[in-house]
Amino acid sequence: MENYEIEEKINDEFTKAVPDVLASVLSDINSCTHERNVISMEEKKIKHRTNRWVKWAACAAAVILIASAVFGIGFYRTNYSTDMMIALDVNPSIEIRVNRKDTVLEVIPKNEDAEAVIGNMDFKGSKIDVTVNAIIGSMLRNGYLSDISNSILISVDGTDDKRSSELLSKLTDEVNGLLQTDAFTGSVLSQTINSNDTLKNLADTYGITPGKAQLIQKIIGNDPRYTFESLSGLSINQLNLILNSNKLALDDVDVVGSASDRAYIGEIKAKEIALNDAKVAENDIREYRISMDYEHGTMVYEIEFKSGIYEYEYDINAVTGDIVERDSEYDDDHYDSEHGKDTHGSTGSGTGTAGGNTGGNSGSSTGNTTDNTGSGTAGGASGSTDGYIGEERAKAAALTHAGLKESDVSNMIVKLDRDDGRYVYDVEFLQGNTEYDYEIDAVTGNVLKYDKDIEEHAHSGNNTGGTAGNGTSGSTGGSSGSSTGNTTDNTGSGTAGSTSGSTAGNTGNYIGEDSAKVAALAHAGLKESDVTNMIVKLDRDDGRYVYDVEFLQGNTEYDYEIDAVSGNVLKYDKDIEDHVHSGGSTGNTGSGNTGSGTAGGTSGGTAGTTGNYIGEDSAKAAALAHAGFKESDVSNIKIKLDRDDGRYIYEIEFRNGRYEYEYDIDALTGNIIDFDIDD
Amino acid sequence: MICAISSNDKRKRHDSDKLDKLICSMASGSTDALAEIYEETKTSVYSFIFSILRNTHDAEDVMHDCYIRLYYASQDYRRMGNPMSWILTIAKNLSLRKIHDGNRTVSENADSSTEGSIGGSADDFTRETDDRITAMQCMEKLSDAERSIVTLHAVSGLKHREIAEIMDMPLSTVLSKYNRAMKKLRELLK
Repeated sequence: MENYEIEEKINDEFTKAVPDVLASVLSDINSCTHERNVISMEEKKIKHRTNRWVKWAACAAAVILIASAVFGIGFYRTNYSTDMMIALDVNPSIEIRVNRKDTVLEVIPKNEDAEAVIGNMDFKGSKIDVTVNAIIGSMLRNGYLSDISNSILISVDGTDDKRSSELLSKLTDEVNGLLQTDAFTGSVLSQTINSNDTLKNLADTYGITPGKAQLIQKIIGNDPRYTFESLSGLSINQLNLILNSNKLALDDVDVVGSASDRAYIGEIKAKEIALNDAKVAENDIREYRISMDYEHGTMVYEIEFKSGIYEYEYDINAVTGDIVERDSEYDDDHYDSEHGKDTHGSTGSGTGTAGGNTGGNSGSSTGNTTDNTGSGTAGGASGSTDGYIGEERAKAAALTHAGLKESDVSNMIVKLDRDDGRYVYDVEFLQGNTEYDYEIDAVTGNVLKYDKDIEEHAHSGNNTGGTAGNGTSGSTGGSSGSSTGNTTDNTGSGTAGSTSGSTAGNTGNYIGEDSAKVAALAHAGLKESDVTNMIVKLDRDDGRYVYDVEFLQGNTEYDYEIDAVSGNVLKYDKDIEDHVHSGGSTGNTGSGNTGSGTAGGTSGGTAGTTGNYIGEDSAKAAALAHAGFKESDVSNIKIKLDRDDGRYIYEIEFRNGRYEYEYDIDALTGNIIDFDIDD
Repeated sequence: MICAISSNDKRKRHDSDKLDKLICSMASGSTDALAEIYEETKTSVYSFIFSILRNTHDAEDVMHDCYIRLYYASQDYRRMGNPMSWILTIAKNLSLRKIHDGNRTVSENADSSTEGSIGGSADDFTRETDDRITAMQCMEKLSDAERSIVTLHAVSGLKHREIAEIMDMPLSTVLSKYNRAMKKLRELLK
């Protein structure tokens, strides 16, 4: 059976199965909007009332009451229509709808915790203050509000601003009083909101109230590094901690009391851990900064300080005290630009301070002396979200500096980040098997730092053993070559080159790609069948070997770094992908002498793997031949190497006139696997 | 190939301009416009909701709520050239809400022979097909996303690009899921 026959069959079956709900829809709409035509409404109502639509029942009843002319429309409005919405967020998120007399019409639990809090309690007809009192009581009893998590957000949403703020201040006082317990003192955040569809949609999607959605949006507005998704899972206490610790004051949000950090190790302990790890004494440090943050999927203490000629940055897990991320580099300010500041040297020696990296530095500092003299002084201002150059311009700045075109590179990642108290764009991309890493000032667009690395992969189970061997030795030679002949050489490649030999022999100690994959999926709470575009590769980071595990779930991109020896999740990152990659075309350039290093196994993305495959040109030719076109007949050709059902395919798209053709071509055999035509 | 092209013309494409105008008159309170929109879109809306909820009772409930929501939300509608996306996005959100709220008639893991599924029981409209397997039964074998993608393509005649937008997925994912789903259906309907 052909695709179109199947589709027709589906269409037919659905067309026959559609129920008729129009009469009931019209009746519900009429009864709730046209209060003016009360009498005729009543007749309609009786004719069509089905009782199935429970949520319209109150409305319907009201219409009948009005019709009987005992009470006026005002009665209906006062008693049955929602006048205001009160949202309580702790971690349980609860919405309470009240009428004009502050009588509760409905209490809606927005998540599972909220259901536990409400239990069997029925608040309909109670006064709002009684209801809130009972809910807070239940939250205290159930441990949602306690000495380790003491913060609550109260939001009032109504059209009458005066009434909203009156009710808000009444409830805030009430809750604040309830949270002055013997065991702890609470912290109450309060705000009035005017919810719109955006807020409602966000709230529904993430199982929170529009109030919390508004709070998160305000936080993102102050600090654009956060994403809605990452913050939506945090409790109000955690959000409150982030607000406190970063000294963020949000417009129109009042905060009483301060958030509890009892669940965490505390700033003093975190500092101690960082100083111990850096092996510097408390007296030797300067410009110390600590703040709480949400990164790597957990609450962390972000610590920055300087000591000697180095600048340190730590992310410390706020619960366990584990060091999640460490980074050290030459202090930009300390190192005078007259000396010919060497950004490559500085990044390379970052790992050097932790031990290990020798030799690379000298090589790099001869080859590369004059790049970026101006860096490290720009910016300094932070807090404002406006005036950033945007990801596109950051990308362009990095590409210009590298002397590459966007079409030359793949795996482009641009991320807004904060470094040294200012905002920067981290721009990463691959050209062949060379990894570029840029830091672009988010305000001025200046290149602050850059780094270039030959990517090495020592795969176990490498199916192109001979080639991979060549790749490794080739790139080792290449790195030493580049450190003399090339002004943009890097220490990173020197290190990678010198160690790669031993890695190849050592993969036996590692947990293996499969275990790494399992660890990442378990952490994400997903099954392998839920995700697509899985890429696992062995990589080196901060002086140790890690598995980089990447996959897509829906359009969410997960990126994990798994310790290759212990299997621990070292870092993780979750990104909503809202663009379609057109990358993958770099394989040809990269595959020459270095790309073969990545050809192992099934991973390594698109770069370098093209050697075994028919190539984009042959794939394109096969698709065009099948469609009966010459290349000149078609436009908008896109070719992408992709993995589908465990094999590599070329996905080819092109247009001819109003039709859009899509082909899947087996990358090894050149066979057409599937094709589709759309107008 | 020729067949594939001509089938596109047979497929129902919604007239965006007409829908745009209807939504605007609906925004000014016209229930006639709503009725017309309903006739125009009911199969698309219902089938998409059903593809998410897989239960006729729940799908009917959500379909009902969806048209009421459309009526009231039309005030906020901004002409963006694709009214069908707007309508189907609302349908999707309400369906997901239904799943989230958990007050569903039949549990999610109900097998395909439950009374709520189209074509699963000996309902009158499937009787005529008798021993033939219905496409609906085969759709049960697809993943949630695959089922929705195939439905949007087959019933609403949306382009993969538009489906990607509604489903919040990259185009490449939609394409590969669509192809995989059609492959499965071809096997099942042999």
